[in-house]
Amino acid sequence: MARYFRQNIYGDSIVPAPAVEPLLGHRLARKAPIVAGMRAQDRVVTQSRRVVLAAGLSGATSWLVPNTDPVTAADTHPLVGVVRTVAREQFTLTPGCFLELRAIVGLSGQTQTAGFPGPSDPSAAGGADGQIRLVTTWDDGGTPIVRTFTKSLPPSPREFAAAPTAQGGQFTEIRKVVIANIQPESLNNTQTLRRWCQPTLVTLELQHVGGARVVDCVVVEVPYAVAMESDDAVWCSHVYGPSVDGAGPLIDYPYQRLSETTPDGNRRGGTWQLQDVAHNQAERLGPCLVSWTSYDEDDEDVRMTEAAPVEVTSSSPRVLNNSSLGAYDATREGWSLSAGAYARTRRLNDPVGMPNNGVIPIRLRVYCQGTATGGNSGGVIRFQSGPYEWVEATVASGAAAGWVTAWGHARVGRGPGDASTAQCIVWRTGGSGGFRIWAVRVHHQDRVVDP
Amino acid sequence: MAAPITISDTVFYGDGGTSLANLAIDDSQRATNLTVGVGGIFEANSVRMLQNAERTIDARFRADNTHAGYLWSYGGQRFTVTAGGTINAVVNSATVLALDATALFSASTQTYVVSWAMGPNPGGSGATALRSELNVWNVSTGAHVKGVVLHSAPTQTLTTAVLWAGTGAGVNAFTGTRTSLRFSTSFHTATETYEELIAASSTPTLAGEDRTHVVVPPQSSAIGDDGHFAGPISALAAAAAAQNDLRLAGPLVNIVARSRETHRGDRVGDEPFTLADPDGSGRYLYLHWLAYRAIPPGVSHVSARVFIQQWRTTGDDDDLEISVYSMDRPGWAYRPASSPVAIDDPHTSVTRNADDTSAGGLGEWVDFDNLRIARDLDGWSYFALGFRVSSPGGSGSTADQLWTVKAFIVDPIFEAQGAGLPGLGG
Repeated sequence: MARYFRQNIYGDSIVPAPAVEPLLGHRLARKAPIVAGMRAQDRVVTQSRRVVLAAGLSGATSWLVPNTDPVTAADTHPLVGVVRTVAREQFTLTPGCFLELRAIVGLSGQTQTAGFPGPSDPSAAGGADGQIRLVTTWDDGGTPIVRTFTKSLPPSPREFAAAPTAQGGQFTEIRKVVIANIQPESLNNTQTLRRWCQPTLVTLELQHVGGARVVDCVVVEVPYAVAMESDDAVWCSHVYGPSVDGAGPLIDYPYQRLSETTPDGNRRGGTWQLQDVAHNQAERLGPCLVSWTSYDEDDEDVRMTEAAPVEVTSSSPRVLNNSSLGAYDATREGWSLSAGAYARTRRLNDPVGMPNNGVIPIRLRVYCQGTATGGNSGGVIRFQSGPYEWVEATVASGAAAGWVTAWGHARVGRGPGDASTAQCIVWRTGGSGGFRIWAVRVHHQDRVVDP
Repeated sequence: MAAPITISDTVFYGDGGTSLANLAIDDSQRATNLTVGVGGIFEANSVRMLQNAERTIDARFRADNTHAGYLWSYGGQRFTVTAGGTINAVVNSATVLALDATALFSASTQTYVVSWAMGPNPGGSGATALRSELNVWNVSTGAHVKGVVLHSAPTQTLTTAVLWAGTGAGVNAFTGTRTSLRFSTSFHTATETYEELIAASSTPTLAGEDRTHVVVPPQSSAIGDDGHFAGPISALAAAAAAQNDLRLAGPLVNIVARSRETHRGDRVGDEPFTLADPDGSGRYLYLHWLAYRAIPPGVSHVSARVFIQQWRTTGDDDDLEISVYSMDRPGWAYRPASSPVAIDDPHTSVTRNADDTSAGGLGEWVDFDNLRIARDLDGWSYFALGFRVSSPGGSGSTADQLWTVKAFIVDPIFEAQGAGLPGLGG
């Protein structure tokens, strides 16, 4: 019979610095300082507010949805109800955390109907409806679950559902929308929750519908609850009590574990669990570093159903975000990896050999396709974080649109202040056309296997 | 050369120039010398170099494009140089990677560091169980090449390890000028090899507190078993947990712009998207860069960077003040003038006066002082960019000052409060 342990971890909590001095040598072991260390382990996953998807204007200066009336028999506005995929992401979930979407939006603009009734109908307006949709796929290695979350956006009351044009007008009408509790299924049942606290690969597809005007949209991890079964192999929390401050088991003296009975013993409360959790946290917990989409609000076609990709047609290396660059250059624009330094481990960062630099293991994921307008070709996507450090993923010529991945390391330095700039360098291999890129994702991942 | 060379996983390090006798002296923690042979040095039944899962071999030498030979040999495992500049990794008597470094070699004798790092490949098995990286640096010119290959694990059994040749008798001895060779039992990244063997980075100035991984020995160490002192594990685990408070804290804003739109000093075209700071500074918030982010509980400040390019087509360069805001509301428009509750909107600014119109359309990174975070009731913050153009004199109108933002970065930091203030640091 399975034995489960559940711990609620929603709500803010910092990770305290447990007193180490009472645990030093030549002192009697006492429960309180030992338990403080176990509780501190439990608070680590509660810190996650990882940005797992970010998309928005990102510098664009005009809306896809215009301020004008739809023109009959011309493509001037998004079609009513048609979904536009603007961003894609894929990452491994922090055990105990699930997702929340928050967006800052302008009031939605006008849409256009598909198929025009005829010249007697002076307007092809479809209404100022807008939505944000998030399609989520949760894969623990079993049967994946797909679940879609939708939020309707308020429409603009102006003529033609226009956005404000007065000085500062856009700021006066922005709204905040929230989709909370983004989970694969109801998690009231502890056995169900336990399933999703095992290694889980999450795939996201962010969509705009209708006249949506989205300033900024972010999906973050938020702590929820941890559930483990006694014989699970990977515990990233100690699960000392039913909550991070809840009463825990009675520990009279240092155990290896509370119960030696296997299966279905109680592995908590002892030195072995302290060791395992510390090891798993170092190996499996780390930041999301890069979330990039090819979506460009300024330049997308109103009839788009997927963000226009970046087409790579050059057989010479080119920087993804600046094709005038042919090689990595830390003095030019790129993503920051400095926060990754908080997740450095001793194994890769010897304090004597490399005291002034830092590396972490990473997983690179790219959503791409082995074809472009001019034909098929394969390609290389190199994620470079330093003059000598990069990870390369490849796409095969003619490959269908999908995720490709590679594992390696990134130079992250010692932390914010010690600048660490990363760029993607891309080039096609073989063929005569090119390949397409829609999304790039980089997150911490040590020597563990994707579900 | 960087120092120190030997670290905790070094099981052999021999240097001392061309003399085999010097090269055989083990300067690592093992301090167990190898035996001098003919053309190379060796160790019979070498347990320390029987590493079938993970290892790194680093060699430093001087050579030209005629030199060749074995750097390290252990049964069917070999690390070799082919004349012309091909570096070979051989596993189970088959070459798994022949890295073309010929562009780094010439008729002139130069200094090289070559490294073969081998380790587990996550998710791999069989023919893809391990992942090897070969890195080659021409230390004299700074040029570098790298190769990565997935391959099967060595099936090597205990045998003789030979350095700088194929056999102790000197078959396939390396013909270049030997300098040093290090054998390590763990995977070293290219960054680490460069730091330890070529040049170390200078000490960086961090924006906030650092975090250090505290290693807790695994169960297999038996240190936490019955009959052992339990204290060390509890103490190490407590220290490790405290250092993990920022482990999940990634960049809050990490945007490299897809749109490289040009902004003007008179905000023509940007008016609906720009909001004047009511403090009368003349600064405007730009909606194009507004980001709403959840703040990890252990984070107190942020460190921000912006990559900006500024120029003008007529007149003299104006001062462009770039500001990064953290706000508990998305702009002052939410606050009625009569409201006694003021928005919390700390900001940090840098003023730049430049003409970034050289070939390639450059610009540069602008780094800001640490910024205190203003949180809303949910623990989130609105980050935004603000701009103000002012004339330091000279010709032309501020209306004609142009700029574009190419990247916007906000990184989380914890900045401990100074002495005498309520403690927030741990």
